Amino acid sequence: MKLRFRRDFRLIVRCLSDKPSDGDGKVPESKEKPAVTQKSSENATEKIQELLKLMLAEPKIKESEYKDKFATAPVIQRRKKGDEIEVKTEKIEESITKAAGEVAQAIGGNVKQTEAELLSRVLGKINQSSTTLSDLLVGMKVDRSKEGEDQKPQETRGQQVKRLVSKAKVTQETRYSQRKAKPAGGEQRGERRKAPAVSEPTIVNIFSGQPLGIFKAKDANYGTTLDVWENLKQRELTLATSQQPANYFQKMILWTEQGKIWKFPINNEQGLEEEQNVHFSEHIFLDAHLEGWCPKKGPIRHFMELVCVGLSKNAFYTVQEKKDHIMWYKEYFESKKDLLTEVGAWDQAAKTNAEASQN
Amino acid sequence: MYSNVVVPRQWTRLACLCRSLATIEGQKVPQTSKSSDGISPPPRIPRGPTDILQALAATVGNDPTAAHYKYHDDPYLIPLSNFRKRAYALSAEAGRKAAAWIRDEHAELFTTRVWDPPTKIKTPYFNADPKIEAFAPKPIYNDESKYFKLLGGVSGVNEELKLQFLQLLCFYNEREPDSMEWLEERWFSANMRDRQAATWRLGGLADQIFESMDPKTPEAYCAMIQGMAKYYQAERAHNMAQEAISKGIPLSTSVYNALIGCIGFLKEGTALRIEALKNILGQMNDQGISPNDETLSACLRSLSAWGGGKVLQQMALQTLAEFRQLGIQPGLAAYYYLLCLFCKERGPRFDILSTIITELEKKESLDAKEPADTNFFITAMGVCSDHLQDINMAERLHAILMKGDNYKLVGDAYKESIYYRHYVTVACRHAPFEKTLELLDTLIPNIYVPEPSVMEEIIKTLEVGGAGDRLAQTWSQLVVFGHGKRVKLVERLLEAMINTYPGQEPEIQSKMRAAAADMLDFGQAASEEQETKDIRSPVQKLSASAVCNIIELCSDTKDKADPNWKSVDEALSRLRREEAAGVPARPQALAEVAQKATTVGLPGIAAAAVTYLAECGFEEAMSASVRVLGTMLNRPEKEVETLLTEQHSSLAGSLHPAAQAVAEAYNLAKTGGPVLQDTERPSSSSDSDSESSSDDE
Repeated sequence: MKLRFRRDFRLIVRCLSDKPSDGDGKVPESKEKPAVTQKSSENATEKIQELLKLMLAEPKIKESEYKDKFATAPVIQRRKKGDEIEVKTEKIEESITKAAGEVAQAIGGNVKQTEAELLSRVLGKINQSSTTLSDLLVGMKVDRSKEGEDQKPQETRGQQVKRLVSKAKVTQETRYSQRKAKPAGGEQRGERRKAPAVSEPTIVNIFSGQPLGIFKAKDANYGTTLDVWENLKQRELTLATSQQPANYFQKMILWTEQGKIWKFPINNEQGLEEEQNVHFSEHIFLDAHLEGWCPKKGPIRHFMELVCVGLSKNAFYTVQEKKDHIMWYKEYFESKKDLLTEVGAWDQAAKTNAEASQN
Repeated sequence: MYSNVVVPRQWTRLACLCRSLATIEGQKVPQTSKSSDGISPPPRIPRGPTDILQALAATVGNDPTAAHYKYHDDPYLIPLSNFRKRAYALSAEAGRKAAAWIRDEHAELFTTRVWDPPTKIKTPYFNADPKIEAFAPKPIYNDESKYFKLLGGVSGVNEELKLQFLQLLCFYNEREPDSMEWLEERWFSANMRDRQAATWRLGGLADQIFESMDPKTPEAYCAMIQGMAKYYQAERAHNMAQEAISKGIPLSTSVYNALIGCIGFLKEGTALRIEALKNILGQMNDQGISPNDETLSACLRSLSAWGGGKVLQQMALQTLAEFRQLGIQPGLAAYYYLLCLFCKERGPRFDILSTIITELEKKESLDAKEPADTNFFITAMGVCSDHLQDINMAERLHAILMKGDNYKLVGDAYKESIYYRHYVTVACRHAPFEKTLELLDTLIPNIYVPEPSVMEEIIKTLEVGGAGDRLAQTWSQLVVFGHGKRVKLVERLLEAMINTYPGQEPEIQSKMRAAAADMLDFGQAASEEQETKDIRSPVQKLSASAVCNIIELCSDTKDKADPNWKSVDEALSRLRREEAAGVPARPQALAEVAQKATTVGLPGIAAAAVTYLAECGFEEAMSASVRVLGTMLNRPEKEVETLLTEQHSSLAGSLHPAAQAVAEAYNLAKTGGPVLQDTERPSSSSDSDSESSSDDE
């Protein structure tokens, strides 16, 4: 008799643990369950057998009794308000009872007995209210009401189990008080952490409001515009959404935008935009700027021609800068006119100029 | 005759010129017409300088298992904890800054630059586009600096420049703006929310410049009002606006947006504030100025800043409807303010997020319109996690963030990590186990490193999922993420491991044992480090329960030579030295360990365990010592009991030292071990025992 019982029990346990995975084929729960049951199975066997006998004496578990037992969960007592929770409580009971019934059917044999065994196991554990399994089962119920109604019961169950296993630990106590409190530990641990709000959120359609009726639709007029302000606003926005490059290409993009590398396709006149419309001949033939003030020959002319050659090869000056450069020499020489005339360099120039004009 | 020859030559030259002109033109102008020989090259597509780079960048997928690009340089240095990530990125940036400093300050060192002649002052970096910000001359910010005075001061600068300068001063309130160049600094600086206080500099340079301007243009008025309102100098801003209106100066939408933003500083009480808001909107309409999307977000921002409640919520919905009527759709910032207004921590639960998400899912891509847009995703995920507790919503939201270029809206490192904190938390609590694991594998550790609180959540999830191997991995993650010294987490992990240990594959069990042994070593190393390096904050010790858990895990072996027994021994000696806080929660586990150790043939460990139990005064000590002694002496328990009840002095010498110790433990337990450790030990306890324990105390 005892042997048969044991075997039955194992079978039921297995079925029970497999049950959730039937619903949505989730592996984790079925993995987790046996871990718990196995651990508790050894020392729980005797207890369960006693309980079974007790349960078998009664014809069947009554709904009201079931509910009473579930209602002992502290959270529900505290948060009990309205029918919403009530309804869900019943739902859980029904689903568990139904599940047990199905398992019993699947096993065959004495269906009633098997079902009773299953249920008694569930309920018996709850009364102990200290081991992990009981927490799991009570927790299922507590958390159940937190979930949206549309979700599958199995899935919800898993989630609730997770939350409950992680219930707050008993605070650290001194050696002595911990020891003293040990006998009462069971009850202490049974305490639930406070449950978050459980009510269903109210769906508000944000587009359901009545217009204020202040503005009349008319042509867009944004008033005075501040260009610098707008630019700065844009800058702040770019700054707020900028991120580091995630690969080399993005880095190249960033560098291109920052002007650190050549733009593609590469144009070696990049950065010379203001010279775009200037013909190259203006850069190269600078002698024209000597006409009118520079002597036709002599050391100054020679020097200035060399300056022009140098400038014509300079790729970094703009045409205006080159002109300014030449004009600087003009002013320089004119300021030194007296000395130059004395030496004979400028005098000659003046003379030749005069001759040229006469001719 | 000569002319005959010359003309054809001229003709050929002309033809040649024409051909070359045609080819030059062919390169520039897209050919739309079909050529005669049937070949029609496609028209040229004009491309920007970064178009091709962008196309190439788009081909590079996102690999969550790889570290971010900025950490790629050396695989050895890839950072895995939050602290190291930050340190790495900022160090790299510091290097770049140092380089820039040398470039700027010691340009003469670079003598071989061909394209960047350093002597040329006007364009110091030839490649550099002078129009971009990073190289533009730095603006002059405060009146203490002499630059503005050098330029001629208030009187010497022309009006146009003054106006531009005024705008700059007003926008930044005479403070240095963040640099565009240093991305990492911005990314890692914890951008706290703007301080809501009047920070406008009264009588500063901006005020001086405004005073000196004559005539005062509408632009000047607008800049001043916007600046004051932006920095919450509300009363002055409003007064100036009234002054401008009375003078007939046209204001702008931006001015009104700014004014709406600081209504809260003018009026107290919800009713008055709403009244003021309506007045300003009415004034806008009277002035013929149209609102824009920023007007909407400014209204909602003010409303959300005034607290919560039905009136404000109603007002917000009305405002929204009003603007929709004008064809102005709410942006991300507006949604953010709505979420702030409706989803309060301790308020009734409102689900406005589902509507918003549905709305956002319709859009191809999200464009940032204002800096506040970056607050949306973090807040929305927080609402998913705390307010609605809805994983489906969270997943939809995450999908939106991952779409296209939207990830830029995540903001900065701080916001990103809070976003993922919410996401992982809600996934751990509500998502199916498999999905949670998938998410964790994707995010951790390269995209997100969990904070301790999230880590605890993850451990809970793994415990419930019964994933033993992952729990073992979690230990190494804890170490890598820098949480290894957080005793609370380690204890939590040990508890989870104990709960999931039975029923695992033998291979996984051995991994878990190894992890447990490693925890012990790690704790040892940490405390040694503390001693040697003289660290101020003391390293917390694992609690006795946790050490007990380690012992239980490590002792699960049938092999006497298993190195884990060494860990057990070490843990026991630590317990006996009272280096662990509290007492074990489950003494029977220790009793079992003692039994196991005896059967394996390690009486020393068994004796230590039993003695510890007796010292702590657990009732289990008696039965345990009887059983252990029974196994040691290979006799039935009854016989051992009778043996022990005899005078223990008669036993002395006739027993193995370990057995002797067990017998003493029995006596200690029987005579009622010390209830408090302070109380004197009963004289009946053996000499050696009291010696050893007094040493420890």
